[in-house]
Amino acid sequence: MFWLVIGIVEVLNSGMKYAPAEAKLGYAAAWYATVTLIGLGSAATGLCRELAFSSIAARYLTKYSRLTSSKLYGSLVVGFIIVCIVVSLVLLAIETPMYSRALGINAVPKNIAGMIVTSIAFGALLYALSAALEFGALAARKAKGIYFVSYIPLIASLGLGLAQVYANLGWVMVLSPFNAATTLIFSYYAGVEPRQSSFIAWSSTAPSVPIYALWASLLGWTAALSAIAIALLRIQRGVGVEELRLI
Amino acid sequence: MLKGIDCIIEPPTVLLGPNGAGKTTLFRVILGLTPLSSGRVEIDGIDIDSIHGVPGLVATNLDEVYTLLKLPIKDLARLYLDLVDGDPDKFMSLASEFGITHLLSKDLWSVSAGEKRLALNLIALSTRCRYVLLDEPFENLDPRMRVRMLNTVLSESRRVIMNTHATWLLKWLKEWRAFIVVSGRVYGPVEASTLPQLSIAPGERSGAVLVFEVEGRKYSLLQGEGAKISEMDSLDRLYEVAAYGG
Repeated sequence: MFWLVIGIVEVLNSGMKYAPAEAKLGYAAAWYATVTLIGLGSAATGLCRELAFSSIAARYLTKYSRLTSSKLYGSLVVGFIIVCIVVSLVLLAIETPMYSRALGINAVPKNIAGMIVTSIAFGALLYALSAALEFGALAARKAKGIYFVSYIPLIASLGLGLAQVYANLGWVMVLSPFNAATTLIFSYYAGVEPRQSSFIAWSSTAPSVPIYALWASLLGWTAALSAIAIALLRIQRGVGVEELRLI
Repeated sequence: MLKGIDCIIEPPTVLLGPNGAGKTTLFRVILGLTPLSSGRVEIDGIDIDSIHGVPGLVATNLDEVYTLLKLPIKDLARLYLDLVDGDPDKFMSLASEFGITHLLSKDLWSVSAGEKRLALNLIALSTRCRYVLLDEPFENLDPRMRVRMLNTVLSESRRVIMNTHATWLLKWLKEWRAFIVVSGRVYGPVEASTLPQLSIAPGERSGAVLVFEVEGRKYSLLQGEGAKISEMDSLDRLYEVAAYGG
């Protein structure tokens, strides 16, 4: 919500209200993409801590019940994806009327289904990253690291998301799954082809980026991190709630 | 911290020791829920590190095992009993017998310590697992519930391994083995029901049933002189006896 308001303040302090309708829609799309990244990154921080608090239960159940590491991981990731869909839709429901009014356009996204699918994929990526970091810290018995690593998804979302607003990241926007997700959400929202350009100085003449490359990056990273998270879930031995409370 | 443990534990067994002796840690080690700096643990000859996805093997009442989801006790019991191959009807029947059906709609973490202990004992005992590890199953229970719980535990004794610092129940544990756990070391086994007749005396005495160390000094468990176990409310008094005598 804070970042959505910041986007409106930017509108009021810039010449955006005099820009063409396509540029205004692109502006709304850029803020939505960035805010979604930050919002879901924040949700991932809480998720990391929940994982740490339930790490012994996860260890016990994967050893002595029908719940295998991959089944447990799958059910947890589905839960987080539902949270991601809800967060994305709530942000959209707030942003669309807010930006429509501020920019004087109809700021309804061009491809809501594409945005939701991207949010689902990004949710799976965030879960995989959070779980890999958290289970890695647990497997290494770095109790203090458990809190530190919980902030990494948020720091990455904030840093890489805001970087793309102001800077042309070139091929980093493909290599970084965070920027691949933002670019996809932006493109689906604005109904434009992804390009190697910053959001603030978006240019339709900049070199284009194939959509399949962005999806390949997002899904590839998700698959790799999920495999690491499941392997670490199998070997981690959990950390006691008392130990966590002492940190 | 556990040290130099080399033993075979079979049900029915009670691990007896003062608070802080390492009994709960030993349970965590047996279950593979905490790292080992050296050595290994086997359940039925299988290294615990290689056990994955084996329902029906071990159940426990350790509360950290039940932290996966925040659910009402009834739903939590149903979920766990479904996953570990338990009997939800048995849980409902035990809950009714113990008079805790009014707690079943409450979150496990919102009830009192005694109620939580009771609910977790009943979930563990409602499984069909070959081994049930009960960590301090009588802790925080009121006297009436303690006796009921003892009866339930005794009726399931062929699969129960429990730890406790309480001594009042020892005379009822016929045919149970007991290990004494002190300062991270495990001594025994001895016959549990004989313990109330034994005493703790300083030094290594001839005729001792077993000799154990408390803070670097040896003590003997024997018939005759010394501080009688039956006169200690709990093994927590062991350090007091070691410091000031019986």
